[in-house]
Amino acid sequence: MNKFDYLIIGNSTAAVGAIEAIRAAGDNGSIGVVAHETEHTYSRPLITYFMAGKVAEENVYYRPGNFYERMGVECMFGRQMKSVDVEGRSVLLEDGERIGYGLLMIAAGGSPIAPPIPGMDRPGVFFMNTMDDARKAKGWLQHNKRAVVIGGGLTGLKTAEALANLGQEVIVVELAPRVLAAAMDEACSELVRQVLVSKGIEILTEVQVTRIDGCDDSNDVCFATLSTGEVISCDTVFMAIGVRPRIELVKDSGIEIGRGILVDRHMRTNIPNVYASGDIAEAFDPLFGGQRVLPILPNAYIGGRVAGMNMTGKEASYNVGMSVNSVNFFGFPFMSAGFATQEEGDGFKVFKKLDGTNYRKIVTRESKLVGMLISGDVERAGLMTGMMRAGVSVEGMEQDLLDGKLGLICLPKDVLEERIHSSGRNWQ
Amino acid sequence: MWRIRAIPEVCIGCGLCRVWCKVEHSDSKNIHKAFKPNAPETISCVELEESGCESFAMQCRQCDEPLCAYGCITGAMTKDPDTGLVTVDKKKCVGCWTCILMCPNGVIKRDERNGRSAIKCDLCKDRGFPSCVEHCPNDALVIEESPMNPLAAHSAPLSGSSRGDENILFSEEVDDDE
Repeated sequence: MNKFDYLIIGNSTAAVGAIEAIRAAGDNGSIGVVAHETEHTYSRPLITYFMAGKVAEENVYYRPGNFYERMGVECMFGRQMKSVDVEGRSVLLEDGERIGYGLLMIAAGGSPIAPPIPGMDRPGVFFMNTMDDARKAKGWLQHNKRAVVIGGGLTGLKTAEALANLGQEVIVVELAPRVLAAAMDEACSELVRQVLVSKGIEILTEVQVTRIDGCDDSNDVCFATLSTGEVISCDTVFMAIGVRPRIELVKDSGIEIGRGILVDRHMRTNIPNVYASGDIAEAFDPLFGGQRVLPILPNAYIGGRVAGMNMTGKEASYNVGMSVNSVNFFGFPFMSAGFATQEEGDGFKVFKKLDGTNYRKIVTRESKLVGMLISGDVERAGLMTGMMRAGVSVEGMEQDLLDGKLGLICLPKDVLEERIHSSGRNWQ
Repeated sequence: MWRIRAIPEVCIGCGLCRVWCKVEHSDSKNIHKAFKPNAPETISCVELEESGCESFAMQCRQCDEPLCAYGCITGAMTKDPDTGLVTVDKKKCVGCWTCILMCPNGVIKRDERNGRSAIKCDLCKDRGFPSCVEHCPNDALVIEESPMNPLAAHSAPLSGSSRGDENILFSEEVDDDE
């Protein structure tokens, strides 16, 4: 049986974070990576850019071509994990091979949610989750021109943007009353809607696609029927409802799961030599005060890094895993962090300022900054996430925060000293 | 590796650090040309922080654990394992500004002069020595030489210790109560 000191399941951001941490710690142990995709590690958020032709294929890759070689990683790509034997410290692959490990990290990510819509299997229906999805869609779109995007979340809207950039007619269908409902409040999602509509994207809310039909002479996508009964003609449908952790991979293994694989602040599961991070993990969120699934790229890297360090025996703790999102639509920037959608009440205070398309909102709890939302002028926004991580009191500074007037100099003396002198290692 | 450090006690808030940073990041790199009314826009990667009569300049600290690079969605922002410099690959950056949201010191800027890319202090690596430090009239910016963090570099651990060495990544206290 082939055996690795470190076996990593998954080949995306969290895996890279772990690999780099293991090697940075000077550990020369053997590392094996199993991934069901066959690609060199790539940036998942860039696949819509690639589809739109905005980013060349070589720039979609997250690390240089010689990454695995340089890191001394043995790649087992195009292979799927079937089950884990935590007693025997081995993993069984779908193809029947068993691979042993000293330490295991599961970073297999999420799989796109596939709603049971009749017609889902028709040619012309795509997900937007992998490079392979983007490649297939890119080819298909060359001879089609009207697309329906199911889901008005981040992936759905970035897909819609890419389609509009390709000159497609685009209709976004969202079940919630507004787009980006999970990351933004009403005022901010309205600004997003305006940007998209100004570029010709049609947005339908509080509506679902109930079936996808072909035409008389073809099996390909031709019509989408909405829950309102309306039938819209289209030749492409994108499914972007969301992703869910691929926890089925560890079912009945003894590894504890909730919505994702439950990990402590060392990114360790209930099994001592098994770790998890990235979109598959349910990890600690310091603002939320508990574990939650938070499938965002920065947390995947940091979680992977923390796992990697702990696996090599260098103690590290995951304490910065709050929600952060920075996204732009047609160049217009939006940022959110922490309790960005929170409204006044339940112990939260909310301050807002809307000036044309520049929106700013801050959320405090017990006088500490716990949430923010910005559109337009995003200059120095990190000062606020820094304040959130440091847990400093912002009492009396709320208006300055809304006006974007605060600097580091407003921080308490000890925090400021740390910022000026520290080597940038401890971000709490 | 090098870091630039501010000494607030002697900063007079003159802003020459910003002026020279702008010169260095201008097309001409010439102070007479960079500020002409019709000169192309240029960017300072130094922030001058002022409150009352206190002031100091702040630029990238080339963090050992750079949150900007960890948050970068494209792989454009990386920490050079040899020099410790945190750099942006403009060819790869798509201008999502996640780095701006991640940097707790607010020292990464938007550069939209030619496409969209993040821009930050590069320690004037083409020039050889940071211009802001060289031109600070009161030595309120200094070069600090610190050993590479063994965890940030892909090299063998060093024995030298800098401030904060006892704290490893993100938190010193580990109380797993969940």
